[in-house]
Amino acid sequence: MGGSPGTSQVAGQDSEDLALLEGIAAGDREALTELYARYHARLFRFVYRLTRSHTAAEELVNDIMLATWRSAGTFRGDSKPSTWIFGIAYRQALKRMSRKRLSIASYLDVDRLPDGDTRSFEQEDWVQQGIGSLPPTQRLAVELVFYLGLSYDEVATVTDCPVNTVKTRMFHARRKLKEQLQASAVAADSQ
Amino acid sequence: MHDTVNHDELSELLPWYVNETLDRSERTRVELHLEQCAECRDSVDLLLDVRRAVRSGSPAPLVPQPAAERLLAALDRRDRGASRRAWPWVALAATVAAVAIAVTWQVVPRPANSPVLYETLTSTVPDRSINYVLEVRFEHDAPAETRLAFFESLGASEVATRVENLVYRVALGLGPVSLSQLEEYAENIESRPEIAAARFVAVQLPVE
Repeated sequence: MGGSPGTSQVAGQDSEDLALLEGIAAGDREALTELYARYHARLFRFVYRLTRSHTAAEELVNDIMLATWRSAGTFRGDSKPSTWIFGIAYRQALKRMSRKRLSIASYLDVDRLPDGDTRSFEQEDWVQQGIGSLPPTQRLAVELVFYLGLSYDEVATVTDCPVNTVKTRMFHARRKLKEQLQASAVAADSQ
Repeated sequence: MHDTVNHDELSELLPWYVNETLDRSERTRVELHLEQCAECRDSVDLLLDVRRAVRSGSPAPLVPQPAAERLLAALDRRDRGASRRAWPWVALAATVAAVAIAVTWQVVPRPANSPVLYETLTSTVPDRSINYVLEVRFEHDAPAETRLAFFESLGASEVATRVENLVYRVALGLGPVSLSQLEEYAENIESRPEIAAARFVAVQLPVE
């Protein structure tokens, strides 16, 4: 470990996270344990969406934390600590998704649908499957935008890509989903 | 009618129009454009479907409490080759942290026809004797009959206590059990119609 995280205008939660990253950069395992406790649930939920496996999700969270341990000294405070940590999560998830194509299960919650809204249910089912079939970078972009609710600047930071690349990925994801929707509509009509 | 340059630029912003992170001026420009562009309105509809699917189509998973001891063990394995330095206080801190962290499965929204709920126990639950606690959380609009049926379904050794409104903990009274026995028991619980009617179920595993 080496170096020290830079200081930036961060407040509240961010300043606490920053202090923990500084501790981690100095080799403080208790700081790592504390950061792990703070982020575990958020990271677990995020990566579980991609892995659909508790075991794989836990492994991935551990990988993210180990990567945080290794690279905390490189954090310069250019972004919020949480954005930086999710950037690590993104790269770890992408690495795993690229190594083994993950399938997405349909986890629809029919209880949430209005009575008799079968069309919406089928539509949502289709959208879920469509998202699951996207290439990893597009799939992750969709998750970052609609699950984590990140702005395009934040997505660019997390993915370490230019904003235009982020926009393009989302555009291609949208186009693919639209094509699949049209194909599924044709298939439904022909039945 | 709309100009192509404007359309291309604003069309790319639509995902963030839908997730409501555009600044005010961008949002205004997009809204003005939407008034005259049917293609972008269709795209917004599609993106709203995507957002809905992402948000509601995936249940929150069973989130185990963080198991720092496993993380630190992984760190130890990584460091072992690099250094043999002895840090007794680190080991002590790790032990304290490991003991202090209860192995607790948090509450999760359950989809209908969900897959086996307790499958992850195999990877994280130690095979040892502890008192298992089932946590059941009902929807706010769960009818009284559903809750009543749940209590009536409990066995003699299953003692339910109310934690908060609509949340109950049931001491399972299993005594010493093996992991496989616990899994079998959990599957039996899962199959009970009274439990299936609850929206949230979790098994809690307090540390000895």
